[in-house]
Amino acid sequence: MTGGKVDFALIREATRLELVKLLDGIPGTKAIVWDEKLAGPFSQVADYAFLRTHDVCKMYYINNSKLPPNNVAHIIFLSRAHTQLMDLINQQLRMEEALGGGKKDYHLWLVPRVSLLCEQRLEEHGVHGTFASIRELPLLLYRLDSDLTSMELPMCYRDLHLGGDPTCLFLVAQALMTIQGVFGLIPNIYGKGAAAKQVYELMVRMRREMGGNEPQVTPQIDQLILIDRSVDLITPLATQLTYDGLIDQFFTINNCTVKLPGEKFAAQSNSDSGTVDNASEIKTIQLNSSEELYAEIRDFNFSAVGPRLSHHAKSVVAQYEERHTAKTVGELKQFVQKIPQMEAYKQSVATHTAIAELIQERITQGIFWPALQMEQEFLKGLDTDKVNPFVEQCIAQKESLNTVLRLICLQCTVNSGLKPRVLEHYKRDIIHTYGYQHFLTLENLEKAGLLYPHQGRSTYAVVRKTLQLTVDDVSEHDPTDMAYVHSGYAPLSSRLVEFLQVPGWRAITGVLQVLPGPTLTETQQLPSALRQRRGSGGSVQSGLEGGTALVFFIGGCTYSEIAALRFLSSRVDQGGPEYIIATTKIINGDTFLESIAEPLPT
Amino acid sequence: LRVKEAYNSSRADTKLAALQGAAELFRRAKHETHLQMTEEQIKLYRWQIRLEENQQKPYTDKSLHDTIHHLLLDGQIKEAEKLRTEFKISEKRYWWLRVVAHAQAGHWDELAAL
Repeated sequence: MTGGKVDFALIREATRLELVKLLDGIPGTKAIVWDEKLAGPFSQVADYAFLRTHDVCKMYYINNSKLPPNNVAHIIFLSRAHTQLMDLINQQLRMEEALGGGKKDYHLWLVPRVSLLCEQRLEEHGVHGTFASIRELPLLLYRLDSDLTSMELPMCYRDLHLGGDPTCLFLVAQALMTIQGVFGLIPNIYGKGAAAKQVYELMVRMRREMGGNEPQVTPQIDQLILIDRSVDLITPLATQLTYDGLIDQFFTINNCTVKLPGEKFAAQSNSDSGTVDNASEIKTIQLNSSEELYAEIRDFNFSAVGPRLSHHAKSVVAQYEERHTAKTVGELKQFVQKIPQMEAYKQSVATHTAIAELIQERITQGIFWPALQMEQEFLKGLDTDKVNPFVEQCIAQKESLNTVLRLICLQCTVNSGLKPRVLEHYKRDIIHTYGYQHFLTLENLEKAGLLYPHQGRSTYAVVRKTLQLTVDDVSEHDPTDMAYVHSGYAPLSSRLVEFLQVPGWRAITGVLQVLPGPTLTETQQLPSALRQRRGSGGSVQSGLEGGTALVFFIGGCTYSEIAALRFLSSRVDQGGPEYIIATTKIINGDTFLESIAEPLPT
Repeated sequence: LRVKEAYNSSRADTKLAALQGAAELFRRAKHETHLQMTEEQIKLYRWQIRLEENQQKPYTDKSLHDTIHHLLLDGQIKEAEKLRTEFKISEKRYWWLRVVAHAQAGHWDELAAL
C-alpha cells in the first residue's frame, strides 16, 4: 500500500510529539511501569530505543509483585483508566515506599484520559497525594499500517450492547477529531447504524465546543464513512479466507505480530524479521507492509497464496543463478551489492512458506472444511429455518463451542431470527453438552442481537440480492470482485461502502431501510478560505469521484473487510476513492464471540 | 437475572440453593425456556451428587453430555440409559455419544452390539 495520499504515520507522529512533551517535562532518569495490555500496542508508537533517547532506562509491568530495586529519579505508571489497575498501582506504590524510596518522584499517566473514577479510587487508597503529577496521554489511535489504524478497544461492541456503556463512542468521536486535526475537516460524512449517528452527533458537539479555534488544515480526506458493527453482523461470523484473515483466525495477530509454534522455523537462523524463543518454542513474527512480500500476499485469498509463493521462490533461485552469468568485475560487484537484499527476500519467502504450511495444516484437519461449506450454504440462504443436522452433529461430537455458536448465530442472522422451537432446541443441546455455565453466554448473545427468535419477514434475501452479497463464480486467483475474500461472499459492510460510490446510497434506500439503525448523510461546512484552496489545489478532487475516504468501523472490523476495501482502493483508476480504514479493534469470529461471551470463573 | 451470577461464584451445596432461587425468579418472570433449563440443571446436579456418593468419582460440574460420556466409559450403561430417558436426549445424539465413548474405552463388543 504505497502512494497513498493520507498516511496514518502522521497520527503516530502527533502522538509521539505528545509523548515526548510529557517525557521531557520530567527531567532526569525515568522508569516506566507499564500496564501490560498497553505495552503491546504502544510499541507501535514508540519502541524501547526511542524511549531510551528520552532517559527512560527501566521498564516494568504493573502487577501485584514488588518492583525490582532501581535507582531512577522518577517512576512513571503508564496505565489505562481502570479501577482494578489503580488497585494494583496502589499496592506497588506502597511496597515501593516501604523500601524507603523517598527520594523518588511518582507520576501517573492515564491513557487515553484521566477518569474521575480512577482518581477517586486512588484517593480512597490514600495515595492520590503521593503522585507528583497525574497526566493524561491522549493516545487514541494506534497505527497498524499506512492505511490502517485501530483504537485497540476490544470490548467496544460488548460495552455498547451489553453494558449500555457509550464511553467508547465518545472515544471514537475524539479519535475522529484527532484525525481531523491532522488531516483537516472531512467535508462529507456518511454513516449507517445507531452508533454512527451518535458518534456524528458527538463530533458536531465537540466542534461547537472548539468554537472558531479549529486547526486550519487543508482537508485531505473527502469522505468519512461510519459503519456501526451491528449493521453487519454476518461478516464477523463468517470464516475469512484471506491470508491475513486466516493467520488471525488460527493464531491471532496482535499489534501486527503473530506468535507461531516454533518448530517449523527451527531450520532458520535468527533473522531480522523475528527471533526464536527456544524455551517456549514460540516464534514471534512482525507482519506489516514494510515487508514487500507480505504486503503483496496478505489480502490474497489463501488458495492464491501458494502459487504466488512458489513463483517468488523460483525468482529467488533465479536471482542466485545470476551469479553464474556475471562475467566482468563490474557485474560481480553489482551482484554482491544485491546480496543483502536477496537474503532478506529469501528469508521472507521462507517465513511465509512456513506460515502457509501451518495454515494448510489447520485447514485440512478438524471440521474446518465442512463448517465452511455449511457457512456458505447459510450465506446463500439455504435451509436456514430449521434445525441444521450439521450443527446438531457438531454439538454431539462436542466440537469447539465457538464454532458451534458462530454457525448458529450466522444462521440466525441470515434468517432474521430463528423459529422459537429451533432456538430452544439449540439452546438445550448446547447446555446439555457444554454445561449450564454457558447459559449466561447464550443470554449475552441474545442481548447483543446475535441470537433471537424469529420476528417478521426475513430480510436477508432482499439484502443479499440487491447488494450481491454472494457471487457464484468468483476467481480466487485473479479477483474481479471483492467477494473473493470469503470465496463467494462479499462483506456486507464493504458492499455498502462500494455502493455509496456507485450508484450512491439513494439507489438502495430499500436495503438501507431494512438494515438496522438510521442512515446518515451530512456535510460539514468548510471555512471559506479553505474551501477556495481546496478547489484550486489539484490534490483533492471534488465530488464523489476520486479522493480519499476514511471508513470507520465502530465495534471492530475483520481482515476480510480490510482486504475488500483495499481491493476497492486498488481499482482507484476506475474513479473510486482510495480507502483508509480505522476501527475500534480488528476482530474475527472467535474474538468477536469471546468478547461477548461471559467470562467463566476458572 | 442476577441470581445466575451468584450461581457461578458459589460452590458446593449453596449452588443448589442459588439455582433454585434462579428458577423461582424465572417462574415469576414467566420465562418458560429458562425455567425449564434451570430445573433440568437442578435435576442433573442431584443426579451427579448421587452418582458421586455411589461411585466415589467426581461428577458434579460436568455437563450432561460429559456425565453420560463418563458413565459409558466406565461401562455403566444402565445409569446412562436412565439419564437419557430422564432428560429426553434424542436418539441421534445418544448414539453418537455411545459410539464415541465405546470406541474410546475399547468396548469393542459393545460397539458391535449397537
